[in-house]
Amino acid sequence: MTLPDRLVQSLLKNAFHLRYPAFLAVTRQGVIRQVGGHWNHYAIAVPRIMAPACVELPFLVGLIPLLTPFEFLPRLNLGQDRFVDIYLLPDEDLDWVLLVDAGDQSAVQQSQQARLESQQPTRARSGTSSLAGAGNR
Amino acid sequence: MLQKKMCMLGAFAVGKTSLVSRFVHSVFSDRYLTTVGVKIDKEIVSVAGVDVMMILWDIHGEDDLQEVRPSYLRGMHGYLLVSDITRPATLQTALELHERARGVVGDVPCAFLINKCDLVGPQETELLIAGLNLPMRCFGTSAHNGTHVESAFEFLAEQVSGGSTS
Repeated sequence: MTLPDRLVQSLLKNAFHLRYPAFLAVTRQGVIRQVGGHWNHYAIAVPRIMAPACVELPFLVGLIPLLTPFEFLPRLNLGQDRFVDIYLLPDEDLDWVLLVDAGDQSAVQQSQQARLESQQPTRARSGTSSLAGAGNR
Repeated sequence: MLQKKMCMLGAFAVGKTSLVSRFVHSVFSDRYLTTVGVKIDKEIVSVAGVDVMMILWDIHGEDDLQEVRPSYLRGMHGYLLVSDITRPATLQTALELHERARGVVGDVPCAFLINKCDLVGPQETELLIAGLNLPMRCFGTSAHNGTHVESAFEFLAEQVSGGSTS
């Protein structure tokens, strides 16, 4: 048995909205054509239409115009632990940039990461294995 | 203003975040907090009288849980490879990341940072760097006391913008 399509669509829609999507469409020349969504959730000023996208959002430098069919950049920390997942999608003469909240997953990953790293040495023991025979600080 | 994307690459806990923090904010903290995903920062450097905005991608350390994604490297203009002078394995990790970076963006400017050199002293660091015979410019750095941090970032800024810093 599978869930009816209308329920799947409703779940997708609600799950999507819970992640505070913010988006913009950028011309191949790097100019913002359309903007929408929850920019205030990320403490980012709403990008200005007709402004250069890389000036408004410097993390897009090098990424647009998009040269691949799709890019996914998970867990970008835009400052003060505001984590976003970024999707880049080409569409005819525009590139779409979509940001969604990744705060919850990032917090989980941070604790898993800290646990893993606490089990591994980050400093050589006194003088035995360092590149230059260094000990602990 | 020129804008250039630059990535920090290396194993976990080699000091990538501390190097960025030292360069951008002139601070160092002994408190270690692992980087998840990518932390974005920016700093303006003057190269031959032209302001260059360095968009710094401080990418999480490579380990069992997190592998550096090619999408993070896409479009970068240059990168710094970072290793920890007290952990020989981190040198190999940095060199592996160098090969992967070249696979994504080709030959773009880069430099090698052997960090935490305050733990061994300048002479040993210089001897070590000479002995490594790396095929790129190498700096013995210390985010802890600031040694060669600014010069390493400025070197990369010069390389990606084809001038000299002022």
